[in-house]
Amino acid sequence: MSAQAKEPENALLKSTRQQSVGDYIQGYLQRVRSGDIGSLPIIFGMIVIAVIFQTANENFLTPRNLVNLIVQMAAITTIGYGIVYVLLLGEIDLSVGFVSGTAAVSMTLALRGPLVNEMAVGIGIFFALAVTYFIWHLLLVKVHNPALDFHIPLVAVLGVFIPVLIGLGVYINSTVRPITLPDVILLVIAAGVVGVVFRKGITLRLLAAMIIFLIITVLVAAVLTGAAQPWYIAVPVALVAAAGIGLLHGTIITYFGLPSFVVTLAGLLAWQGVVLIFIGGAGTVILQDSTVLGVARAFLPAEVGWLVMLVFVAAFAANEFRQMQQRKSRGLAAKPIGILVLQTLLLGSLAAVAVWICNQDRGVPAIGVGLILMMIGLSFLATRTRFGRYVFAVGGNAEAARRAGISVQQIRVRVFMISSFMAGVGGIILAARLSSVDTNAGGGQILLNSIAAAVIGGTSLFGGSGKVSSAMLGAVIIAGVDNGMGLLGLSAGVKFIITALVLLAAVVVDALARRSQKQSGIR
Amino acid sequence: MSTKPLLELRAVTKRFGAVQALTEVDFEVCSGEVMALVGDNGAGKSTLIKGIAGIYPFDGGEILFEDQAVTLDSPAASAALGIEVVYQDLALADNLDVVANMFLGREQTSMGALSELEMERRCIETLTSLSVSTLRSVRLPVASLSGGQRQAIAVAKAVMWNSKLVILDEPTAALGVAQTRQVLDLVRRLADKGLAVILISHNLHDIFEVSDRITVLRLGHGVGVMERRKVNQQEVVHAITAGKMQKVPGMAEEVQ
Ligand SMILES: Nc1ncnc2c1ncn2[C@@H]1O[C@H](COP(=O)(O)OP(=O)(O)OP(=O)(O)O)[C@@H](O)[C@H]1O
Ligand SMILES: [Mg+2]
Repeated sequence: MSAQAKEPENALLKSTRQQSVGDYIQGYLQRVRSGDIGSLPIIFGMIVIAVIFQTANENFLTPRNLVNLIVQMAAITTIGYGIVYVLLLGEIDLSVGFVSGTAAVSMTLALRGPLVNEMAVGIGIFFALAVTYFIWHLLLVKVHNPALDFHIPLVAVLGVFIPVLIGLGVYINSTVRPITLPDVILLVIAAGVVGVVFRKGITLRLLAAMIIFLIITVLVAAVLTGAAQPWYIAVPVALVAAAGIGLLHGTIITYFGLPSFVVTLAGLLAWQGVVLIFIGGAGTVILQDSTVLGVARAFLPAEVGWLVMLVFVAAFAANEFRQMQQRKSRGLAAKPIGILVLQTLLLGSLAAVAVWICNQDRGVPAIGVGLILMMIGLSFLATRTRFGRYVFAVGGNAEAARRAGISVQQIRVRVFMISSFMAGVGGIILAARLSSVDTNAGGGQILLNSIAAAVIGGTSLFGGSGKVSSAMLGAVIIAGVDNGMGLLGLSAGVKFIITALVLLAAVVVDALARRSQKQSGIR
Repeated sequence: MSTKPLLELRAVTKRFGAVQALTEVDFEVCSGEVMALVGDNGAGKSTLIKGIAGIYPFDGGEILFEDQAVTLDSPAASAALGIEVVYQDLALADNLDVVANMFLGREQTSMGALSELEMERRCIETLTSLSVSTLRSVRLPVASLSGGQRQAIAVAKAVMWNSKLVILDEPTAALGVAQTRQVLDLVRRLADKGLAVILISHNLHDIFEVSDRITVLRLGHGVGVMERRKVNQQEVVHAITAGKMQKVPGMAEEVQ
């Protein structure tokens, strides 16, 4: 052994030194200069767009129009959230448009009942079965309990057949009617039977599986009755169907090792077909349920708007403060308190301006709060949980993830479920805004706008890098440009071309930033 | 260095269809030593390692770990015993930072949320204990690290889990002079900390620098275990090639 060289000063330990406000700001500027620009370009883009459209038409920056903008961007933002997950994996989901349409149409039909035709019922039953089977499989196959593994085929059979039997029983014994107490009792008994079968290993997973099983059973039975259902049945039916579609896509992609592009392209066609069949000859189906309509049409009273804003800002500050304390107590470098105060003030004043503007008009749209809540939830899932970490890992290096014992296939399947599920939510929001569904539900620009939103917001198409919030930022741009051009009365052709240029500009800025990052060794 | 082997393989065999990859090979490694594993291409080195890692279980023979007979039939079984493998291509996710990579697949959580701070602290602790001193921050994405730093992270990842045996498959094959130096120092420090290390390399120069003993495989047969201090490179080359060659790349000049 040669003598070891004298150790240089340990750079790693230096990184745990506490920073001052000055250091922090300097570090930030340094990162920006070297190309780690985060959302700066998009904020700049928003300002440019606001200035251009306001000069061209003074109605652009009015409270009324800004509130409209929030409602207009809601659907593509929601679908974009799901797209971000798919892009993080380095995959693509081209089916989200018509999956959103399928969900919206399913919901509308379930609300209206009786279902339009046998075909729709058939497809609905098929999906309920598929979803039930797969969810059971997903939840139970990984249980590390040999006694339980033995029962898995049994579980699958029970999970598939009990809902069908109950559903058929309800269907045959009654004409058109909604779910009643005896049905629910029957379901509980069924769940009890399953519980007895599994008395050896009741785990949290199993309980979750049983609850999901119960819910799906109720939904299948409800749909099979063909009666008009309340929103709390119709909306879950649509969302379960959407998640089931994602499960189907994800399973085909992983099981046969196919490119997601092709499978979801097939999905795009197939679900467009399903929308057409479901709508049948009706052409347009009007949505009348006031709760569902409220998704896009409810506005918070002024005081409630302020209260919600205060809660959000306080939660932000409290969370950051806790984080800072914990880092300090472990001897890790923490954000200086001055920066925290500054950030809170900045966020608070931005939020206050937004609420104030909204209150000049109809108030803060409920869906605006919904968008923020979804963003927080999905960001948490992406950055603070194991699942999210694995999504990034699979997107960055699938082989490394596999060797680390991560089930790459399961992650893929779940991501496609998330994407379809969010598409379902987006479809319902869009249907509520338009207060009807028609044969083109989920068609048009929805798919491309959602993907563009995620990409403009800075999520990479090549996997492994991106943020859930990028979908919202990108959607502001897309919807803003669309809205502004609408005010100016530009033709559809001009709109398309300008949207294309915006998308291109965003990708170019991203590519330039990346190049500068590479040169300065950040990435 | 303790004299009792930590891991002992007795007459292990492995057959892939018509290919007899390993024929009654004996192998051992003790805690606190670096055991080099050398042999020509196709000699069976990787096969032996994969058997120990539980990726391709052996067909026959006995495996003793800490004097207990064990079966290594899955990667999980090996990991449970404290056997960690650093693969040649490292298996790091470029887009994740150092902490995320070190804990990949074994993240600490509390109530469903990642315990980032705890992981960051442990990560710094481990890297410091291995004297990995050139890293600026553990929050940098791995893509921005040098080859040597990445190798150090991969090794640190393997030693963080109370591992007892660390296996490195050609860890210096892709590295420059200075980075090779870093990794070899690290390998030596692992053994000095009391871990057992198995090092596969085609570079005899490196092997002579850090190893304590050398096991030579030829065409699936074990042809001997040598004390590094008692042999010179020529003798090892002789054992590897069955006397057909006098020199291999990477051999020190003075041997000529
Ligand atoms: N999965 C496999 N299927 C069939 N044969 C295999 C497989 N893996 C290895 N072998 C055979 O086993 C023998 C030993 O291969 P092994 O990979 O262990 O060699 P090695 O010593 O690691 O060589 P190298 O220095 O090139 O890495 C070779 O003849 C190889 O063809
Ligand atoms: Mg090999």
